[in-house]
Amino acid sequence: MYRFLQVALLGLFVIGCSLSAFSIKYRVNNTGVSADFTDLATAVASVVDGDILIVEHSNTPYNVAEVIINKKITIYGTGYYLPDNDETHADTRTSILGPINVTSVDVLLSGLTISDCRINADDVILERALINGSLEVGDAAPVSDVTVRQCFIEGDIATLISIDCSTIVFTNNFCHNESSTLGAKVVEMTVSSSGLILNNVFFGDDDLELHNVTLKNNIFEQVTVDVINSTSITASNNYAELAFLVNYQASNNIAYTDTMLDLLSFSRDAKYKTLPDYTSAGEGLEFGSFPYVLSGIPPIPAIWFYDGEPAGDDGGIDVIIKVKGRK
Amino acid sequence: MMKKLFPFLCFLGLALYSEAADLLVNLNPTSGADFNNAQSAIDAANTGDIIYLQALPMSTLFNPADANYGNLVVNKQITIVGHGYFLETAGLGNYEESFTPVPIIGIQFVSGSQGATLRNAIALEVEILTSNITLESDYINGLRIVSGANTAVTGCYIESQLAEAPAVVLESSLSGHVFSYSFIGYIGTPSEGAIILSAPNTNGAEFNHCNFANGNLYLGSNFVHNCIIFEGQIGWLQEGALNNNLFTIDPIVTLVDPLGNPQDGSAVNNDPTNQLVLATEIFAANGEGDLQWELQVTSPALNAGDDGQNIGMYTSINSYRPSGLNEDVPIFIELNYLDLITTEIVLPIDFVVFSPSGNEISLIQWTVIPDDLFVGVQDYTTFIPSDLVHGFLSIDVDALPNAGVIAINAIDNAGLESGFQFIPFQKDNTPILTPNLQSFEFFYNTDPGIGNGNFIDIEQSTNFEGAITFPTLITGGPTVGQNTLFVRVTDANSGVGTTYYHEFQFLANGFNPDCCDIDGDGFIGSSDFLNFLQFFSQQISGCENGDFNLDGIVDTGDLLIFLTFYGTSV
Repeated sequence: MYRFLQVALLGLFVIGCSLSAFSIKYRVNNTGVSADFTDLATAVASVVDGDILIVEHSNTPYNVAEVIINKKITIYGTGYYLPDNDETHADTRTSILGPINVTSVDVLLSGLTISDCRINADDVILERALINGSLEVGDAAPVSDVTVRQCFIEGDIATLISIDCSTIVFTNNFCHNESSTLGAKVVEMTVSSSGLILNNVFFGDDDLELHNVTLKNNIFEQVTVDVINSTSITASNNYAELAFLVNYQASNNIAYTDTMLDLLSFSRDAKYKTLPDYTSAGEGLEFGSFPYVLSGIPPIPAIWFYDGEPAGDDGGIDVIIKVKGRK
Repeated sequence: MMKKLFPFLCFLGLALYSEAADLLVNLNPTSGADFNNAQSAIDAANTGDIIYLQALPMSTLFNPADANYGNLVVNKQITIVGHGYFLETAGLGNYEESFTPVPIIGIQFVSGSQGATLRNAIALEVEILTSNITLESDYINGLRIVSGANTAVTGCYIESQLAEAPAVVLESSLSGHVFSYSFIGYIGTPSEGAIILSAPNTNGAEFNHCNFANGNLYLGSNFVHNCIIFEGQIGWLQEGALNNNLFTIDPIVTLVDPLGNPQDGSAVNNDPTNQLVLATEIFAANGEGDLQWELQVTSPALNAGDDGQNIGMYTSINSYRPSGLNEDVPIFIELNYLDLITTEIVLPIDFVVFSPSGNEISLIQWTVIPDDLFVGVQDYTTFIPSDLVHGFLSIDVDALPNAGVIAINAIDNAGLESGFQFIPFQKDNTPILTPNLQSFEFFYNTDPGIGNGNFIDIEQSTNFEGAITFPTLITGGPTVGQNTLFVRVTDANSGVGTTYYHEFQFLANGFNPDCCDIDGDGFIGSSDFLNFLQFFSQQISGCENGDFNLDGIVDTGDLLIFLTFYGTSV
């Protein structure tokens, strides 16, 4: 009898695991065609933990007011700057979100264009996103284990504002603060934050305020670390400007030169790739565990060429189609 | 494991482990501790060993909410050390407490445990059946001394949760029990009539520099001095004595011996130094938990004891210390780390360490314990030395095994070391799957939901380029006229891409585009369009008459078909 109970319990456990692993995928499309949802708020309100939302190509944002992501879900988008790079998507419209606030643990956001992103939960991954407003982590509650990777962050205020986030992993991102205000921060952390800052490109004025970080394999172009207000930094193997090297040159940090980036490239993000002559040391976006992905294409398959016939009949409808798997 | 590890550490001069007789207990099976069960540690211990009952960090996969170390029986002269209590109110700065101390449900000291100590622990019930037991800086819900002599209770916070269950029961008829610098009280309101001390059978127990709160004392023949009795009265005072105490309500017994002979053996043989004062005059009332009993700067308790110290548990020498942090050694009050390592840097570890002694935390040291193998690798440690440090440690992954445990501790500038914190790590070796394409999913006009459409399988590869003819003669297929074809692609990893669509004209069976070349010149152009308009709105049949969709009327449906082929040669 005991053996039977063991087997039965094991069976129930397996069934339970299978059920919990089952996720349903839903489309979000606001262009007027048939889809599961037409706006982000309704989609998030309707799904359950474990589900996946695929936000599709459109010229219209999927939300205006802030949407709270309060479930353990995954949201995939289309990527961004789709016309700039080869073989991205046949439809070059992108999935544009207004402001969002992630309040649930275990959320993955990938391939989205977001105006303002707030992360206020543990174990959140934001990847391959175009942030053109602000990115704030832990502004409403202390959080930990937040990962921001492979993102293109360019706005008028600090690209990353970590209010209270311990062990943030910030890797393979492009960060540019476009503000012309003197003293504008590219990254701004508070003393209660900490984390890894690896393989990023920090671009433009002015500086980064960092606390409790390991700073490695990054490229600093016309930007440095605010050494007056920053605390507890271990910096090594970074390409950087002179102002940076004055403070950290002893730790294998190397002088930056504009010739190491492909700044003349047409592509808005490919121009920040490290040119081959400078790749031996492993600094820059395309190194590390999560190399930057051009246009932020998410890890789902993509149709990058589509030409459908205008008419069909009982014999079918012909389409010439080109597709890529993505990882 | 510790015996094998010890020579490595000594060889490297890293005295992380001061004694092989320190046994670590942690409920998390991946913690790397010596035991996951406290009773097993007790059973395995030898006389003089120290057993550390570790707290659970909130960041582990383990849910510490209902965790406990169970019921324990101690029959050896050992020391059991916990992690403190009331940590969230201990005034350790603005850092969120991330450790959950794990309670002992019950602990019983039996024959053989003479000389044993319980320190810094949370124990819901403590029962003593032998002599010479020491309770030091513990949080206890109920203490019962059944037999034995010479129990020493110091710096403890003993708090009954039930009005009918005294916080302390003294049943033993043997003497020598001493309570000092401790709190004994009831968590509820005084009006519930709780008994917080029941000692009618014991002679000669001493209560010195204690706080009693929210209940009555059945004192028997025991001695209470230098104590604050908050909202409590005295009963069963037999041969006992009350000297140099502060009362906040009338204790019923006569505080001052009417004969003027203190401690003369009379029924009310009390010292005239006892006082009745207002509670608002005693306490600072600026905290919660044990901090609520701190004295205000004008308190009548200040320096009023018979030894010149403050009356009550908070004194200048040997004082009760909040949260049981009566060790001078540093303590980790926050530890955050990633459960699964995905970058080249193995582990970002965020820590907050506090030094109760006020010494400056000067060094964080760590080692790796992967199956008894010591590995030293490059690390990056940053913090500003202070008595409360927030720092960060990250470790290069290259030399590390796929999984293991990191032991970390802190040292202050007096050389005092914290206890160990154990951090399990695991590299994420999950391969990134090749995104082999699997099929096209398609449907017409209305999305049946992802996974519910029609499928055309394609050869598994990372790329596909070619012409696909999507069938139309299917359930849910197009109807004559304008339709929308939706297509999305799936891969073998359950990935589904965005959905593409295009509008098209579905032509009736047998329809020949040559019909649109009404003037027969081999090209479908403007002259054909003018001819088509002549048929428009007429109820006539036949392709040659502009009824391209063969529905018996020439209307916009036919116009859309015409426009589909407009500008083409036939």
